[in-house]
Amino acid sequence: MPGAASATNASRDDAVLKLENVSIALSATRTTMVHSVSLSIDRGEIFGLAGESGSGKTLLMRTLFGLHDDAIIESGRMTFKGAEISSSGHRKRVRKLLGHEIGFVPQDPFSSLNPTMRIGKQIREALYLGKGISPKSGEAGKIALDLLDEVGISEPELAVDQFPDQFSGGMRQRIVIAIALSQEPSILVADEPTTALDAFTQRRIINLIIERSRTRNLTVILISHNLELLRQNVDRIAVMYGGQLFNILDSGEISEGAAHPYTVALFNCIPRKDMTLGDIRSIPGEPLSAGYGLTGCAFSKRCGLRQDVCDSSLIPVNSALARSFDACLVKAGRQA
Amino acid sequence: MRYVLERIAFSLFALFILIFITFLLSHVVPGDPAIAAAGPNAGAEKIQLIRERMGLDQPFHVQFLTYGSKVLAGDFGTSWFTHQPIADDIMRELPPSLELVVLAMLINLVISFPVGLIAARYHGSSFDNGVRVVAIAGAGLPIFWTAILLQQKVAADWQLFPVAGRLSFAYRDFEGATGFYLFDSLAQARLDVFLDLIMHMFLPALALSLLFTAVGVRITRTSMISEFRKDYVVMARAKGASEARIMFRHVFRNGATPSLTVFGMQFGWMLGATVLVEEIFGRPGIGRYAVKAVTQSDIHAVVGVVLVVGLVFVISNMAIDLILFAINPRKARED
Repeated sequence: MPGAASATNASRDDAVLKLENVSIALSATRTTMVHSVSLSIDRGEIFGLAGESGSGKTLLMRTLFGLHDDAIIESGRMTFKGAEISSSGHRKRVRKLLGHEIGFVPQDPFSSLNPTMRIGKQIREALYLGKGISPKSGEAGKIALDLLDEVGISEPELAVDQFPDQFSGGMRQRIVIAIALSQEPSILVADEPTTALDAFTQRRIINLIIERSRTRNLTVILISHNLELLRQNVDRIAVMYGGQLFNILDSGEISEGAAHPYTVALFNCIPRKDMTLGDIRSIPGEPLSAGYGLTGCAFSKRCGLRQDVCDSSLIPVNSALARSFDACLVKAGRQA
Repeated sequence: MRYVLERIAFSLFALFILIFITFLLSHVVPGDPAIAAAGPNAGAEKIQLIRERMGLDQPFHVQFLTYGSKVLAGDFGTSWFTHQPIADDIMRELPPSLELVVLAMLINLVISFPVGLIAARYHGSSFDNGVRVVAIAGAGLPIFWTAILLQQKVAADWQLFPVAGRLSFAYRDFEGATGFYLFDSLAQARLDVFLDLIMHMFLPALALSLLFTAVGVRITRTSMISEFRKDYVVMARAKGASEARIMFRHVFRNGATPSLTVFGMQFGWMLGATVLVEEIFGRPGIGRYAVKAVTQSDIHAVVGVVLVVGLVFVISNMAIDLILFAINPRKARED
C-alpha cells in the first residue's frame, strides 16, 4: 500500500484538517444535506472520499472550502492546521486560505480552464494570487515552464502561449494540476479529477497527483465514486451515502466483515482483475440523495443485513475522531 | 488574418445582396418610370426617348450593372421632390441620426453589461429578481410611448431638458465641416454648443435605448449566468481570485460574446427606429427623411435610405465580428 505506513504513524496532533460533527445545509431552504461528519486528516496523508453521485461528498468538500455559494456549514467545528474556522463568516474566512493553503482540482478538465486565457497567463495568475509573484516577471515565466515540464507537458515553451482547447482532456487536467501545485498549498482537494477521462489517462493523472504530493509532503483529499481507484491509491478512505458518513477505513481493509455493508456493496460493483462477470453485483434499489437525516441508516432499504434497529435508531457518529469508523447499526448491536 | 479577410469578403457579399434587393425594389414598383418622368402630356416618341436616356431599354443585367456602379460611386439619383441629389440629402440627414444612435448605444452598453453581470453573479437575489422584472417590463415598452412620456414629464413638466429640436435657437447658425455636430463643436472648441447638443439628444437617446437596453440586460444576464456555473470560475475562486477579478477578468470576456453579437444588430435596428423619436422630438435625421420619402412615393430616396441603413448594419456587424475575434480568436472562428 503506497504510503500507508507514514499515515498510520502520524500522530493526531499532526492533523491538517479536523471536522467535528459538521453538518451542511442548503442556504435557501435550510435543508440539512450532510449530517454530523467527523474525521481527521493527517499532514501528508492521501485521503479518499468515496460515494455515489448525490451522496454529499462534493457538497461537503466544496462547502468546507468556500467553493459552494448555495450551501453553508449549519453546525459543527472545522479546524485547519490547528486553527478553528468558525461557522459564522466561514466562507469569507476560508476563501482567504484558497490559493496558498488550499488547492483545488475540479472535475471537468474541459471547463476548468478559462477558454479565452492563454495557459501561461493562467499559471502566472495563480503564482501572483498565491505567492505574490508579479505575472510579468521572468521568475513567474520560469516557474510556469518548470511546472508544465514537471506535470509532463511536452514543449512547455509552446504550451504557455496556447489556449486550453488546443489540448486533450488529459493534458488539460495536467495543466490544472500544475496550476494547483504552483501555489504550493498545504492541502490539495481533487474532486473526481479523472471521471471525464479514459481509463489509461485516469491512471496517469492519479499517479501524477500521488507522486507530486508525496514529493512535496502535500495532503491530498481525493474525491471519487470509484472505490477501486481509491483503494489502490490512497491511505485511508471515508465512505458517504445519503449525506451520512458510513465508514472510515485503511484502504487495505475493504472486505466482507471488516467494512460497512455499503462499502462492500459499492466495492463489489466495480469490475476488478480477479473477478468474473458473475462476481460483479449491482446494489438493488435506487440510490438516495443527500439529506436523509440521522434517524435510521440511509442504506437500510437496500441492505442485505437490515434489521429493525436500522430504521429506528440514530446512526453512530465519529465524535471521537477515530482513525477507523463504522456506522453500521447491526454491527454496533452485535458488539454491544 | 485569414479570418479578418473572410469577414470582409462576407460583408462585401452582403452588400452586393443589399444592392441587388434595392435594385429589384425599384423595379417592382408599379408604373413605368419613363412615363412618370416624361409627364402626363408626353407623346410616345418622347417617352421612348426618355426610356432610352434612362437606360430602361437595356437588358436586365446591364441595367443592374449600371445601377450598381452608380450606387458604389455614391450616386443614388435625384429626388423627385427636393430635386436634390439623394446622396447629398442623406449625407445631411444621416449624421444627426448616427449621433443619436451612438449615444443611445452608449446608454445601452453602460447599463446592460454591469447590470447583467452583477445580476448573474448574485443570481436569485432580490437585486436579480428586480432586474428581471424591470427588464421584462422594459422590453415591452413601445419606443414612441416612452418618448412621449419622457417629453411630457421630464422636458415639458419638469423642464429638465429641452422639449424638441437638435440645437437651441441661439445656436441656429452653428455649422460644422462633417455634419456630426458633437464632433464639430469639439473641433471648434465650442463646449457650450456641445453641451447644448447633449441636452437635446439625451431624452431622445434614452427613449430610443430603453427597449434595447432591456433586451441587452436580459441577454447579458442569461449568458453570464451560464458562465458563472462553469468550473473555471470554481478554479479561479480556488486560486484565490477576488469576486471582482472573477467577474471582470474571467467571466466577462467569455460571457460577452452573445451580448456583443446582439448589440451589433441592435445598432442597425436602432437606426431604423430613429424615425419614432425624431418625429416626436422634432429632430432632423434619416428616420424623418425616410418617412417623408415614403409618404411622397419618392422611390429613389427610399432606396437610398434602405441602402445606407443596410450599409450601417453590415458595417456594425462586421465591426462586432472583428471585436469578437480580437477578444477570443478561436471561439469567433467556431461561431
